Amino acid sequence: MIFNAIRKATFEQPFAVWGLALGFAGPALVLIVPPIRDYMGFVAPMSIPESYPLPNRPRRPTIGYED
Amino acid sequence: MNEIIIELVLICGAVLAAIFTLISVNPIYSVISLIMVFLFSGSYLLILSIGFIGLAYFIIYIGAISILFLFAVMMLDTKYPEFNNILKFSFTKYLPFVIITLIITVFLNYILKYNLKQIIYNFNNINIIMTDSNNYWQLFDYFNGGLNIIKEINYTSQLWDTLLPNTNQIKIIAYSLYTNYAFWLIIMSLNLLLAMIGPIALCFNAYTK
Amino acid sequence: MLLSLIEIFAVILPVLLGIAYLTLAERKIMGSMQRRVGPNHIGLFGLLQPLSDGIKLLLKETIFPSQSDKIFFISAPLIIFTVNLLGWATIPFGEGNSISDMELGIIYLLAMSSISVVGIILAGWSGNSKYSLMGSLRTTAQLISYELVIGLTILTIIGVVGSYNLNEIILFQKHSIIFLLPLLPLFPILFISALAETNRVPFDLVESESELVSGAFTEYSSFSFALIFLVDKLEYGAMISMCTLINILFLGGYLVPFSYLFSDFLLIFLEPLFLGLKTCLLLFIFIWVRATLPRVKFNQLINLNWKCLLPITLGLFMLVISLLILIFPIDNINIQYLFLPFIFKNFKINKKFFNKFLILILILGFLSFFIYFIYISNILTKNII
Repeated sequence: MIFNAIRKATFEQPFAVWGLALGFAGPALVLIVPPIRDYMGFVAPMSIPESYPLPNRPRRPTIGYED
Repeated sequence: MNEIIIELVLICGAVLAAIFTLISVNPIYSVISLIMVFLFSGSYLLILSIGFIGLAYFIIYIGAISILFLFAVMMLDTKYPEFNNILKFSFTKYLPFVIITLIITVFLNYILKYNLKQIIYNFNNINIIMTDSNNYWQLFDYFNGGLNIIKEINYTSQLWDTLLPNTNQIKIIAYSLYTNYAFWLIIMSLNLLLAMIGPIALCFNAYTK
Repeated sequence: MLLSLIEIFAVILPVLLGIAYLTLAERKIMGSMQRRVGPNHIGLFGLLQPLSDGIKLLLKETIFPSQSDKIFFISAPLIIFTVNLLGWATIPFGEGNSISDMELGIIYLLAMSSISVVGIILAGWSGNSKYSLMGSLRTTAQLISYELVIGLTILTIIGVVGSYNLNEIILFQKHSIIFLLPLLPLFPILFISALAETNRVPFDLVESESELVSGAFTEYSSFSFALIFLVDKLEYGAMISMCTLINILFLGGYLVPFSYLFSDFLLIFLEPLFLGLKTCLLLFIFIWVRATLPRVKFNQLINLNWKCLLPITLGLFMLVISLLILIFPIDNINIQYLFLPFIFKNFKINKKFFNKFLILILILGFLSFFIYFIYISNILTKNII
């Protein structure tokens, strides 16, 4: 039923259907692919460090002309 | 010195154009002076190095909204005598309505400011650095401490340098809009909805007479 | 001060010359495609034809229609002229070789093109003629609707590059590959919408040359017409700037193929040359299209935008952005949290209460949106900070 309706729509409004298909394919890929990728043994590369690691202690009060 | 003169010209131009929008009899002239207001204020924002918002003024206000206004106004026959009667919109009639909505919005702002402060702001954790100008952050600070331009900038956040390698204006705006100021974004959208529905209601009353 | 003036003239004068000779090139190419000679009398091979055309236009009498609005009638061509030339400020002619290499270059270009629409509307209205008014209305309808598609394609590329700077878009292509290959379906879309944006032939309903004289600019003559004709949104100036934009976005702008073969000193001269060559290729395709295709109807023009190009562009935009999220996961935001509220397990709907349920959804729509927004904002703040 739904399949027939979609098949009819592909002939009547092909651009809308293809646009919707492309548009929904993206989020679907984002949800579906990562579990499969992890199952196949994919390890995500380390992200580029954007800062140096901060010391795990309260901040020292500044003295003198220290900026 | 030159920058001060340019700024003064832009500010005065914006104010004058705003006055002309109200004064001018021909609606086309008033729309054009509205465009001038947007142009002056947008270029003033550009000079303040808030480039993205200034250019967004050009694209959204001039490119979309004012052109729609022009579309609508050009179609009208301004020499039509009854047209001026429609233009003479009685402000006094709807004045209480306007005042009530103003009071409600202001009141709402203040209530929500004190109740939801803990949820919405992590004011001590602002990790946004200014890139271009020193006046930058204070613009978004409006709802926190009023229009307190002289207030010093809060650099004392915890991880402020995480964003250092990749900051630009749009990221700063996005981070502030969708995190700390998400609630105000919703309030603004509600205001816009009111502004869209309000004219429809007003026009409906005018035509049923 | 003087140096910046020289810089500006060094950009503007070649642009104006290029526009003048584009008209000649169009006539010559169209002539050869239709088995004619084309203009060949004035100068060598008719090379001075655009100059003589310009002089002819300037020597004509300037006519102001008596009922026209004089201020806007004079200022509208000036607005169009200046704003369209302002767009050239950000275009890079070589690596780091542009008047202003601003961070938001591509948004600046879009802003300038949206301002120049005001000039067209004013030009149509101020002549106080029905036909020019209708022409300007049609023009703006066309321009606004096709600007949407252009903006979406540009947004897709910005999503890939991660910067609004034109120079960085080109350098991204230098270090990876020109965007023509990976984003191939977007290129014809942008090309078609550029044809419509510049009102070239399959979409030139505004100034269809046999029926409507020149659309919004019917009332203009001599010098003001020359200004419009030079840098018009609808004609040659816009053609060159749009082709340069397509070139920068898809063909890599000033990039020289096999640039490692040349010395850096030579590349300074080669880069602008290759920018021009690629742009000329696109311009030739523009003229080629004019010589081959017939004009479409107005409903076809609008349908093509809203029913064909826009859905596909939106779909491609979603696809490209989600592929980017898939391949290069965003560090700060864990994307799975965004989808959490939508995943319900064991959720069944009773058909009797379905209508009431729909109304309930409508009522609670805003509330859920609100709660979702606060929820997401909390997640984002936790993740970012």
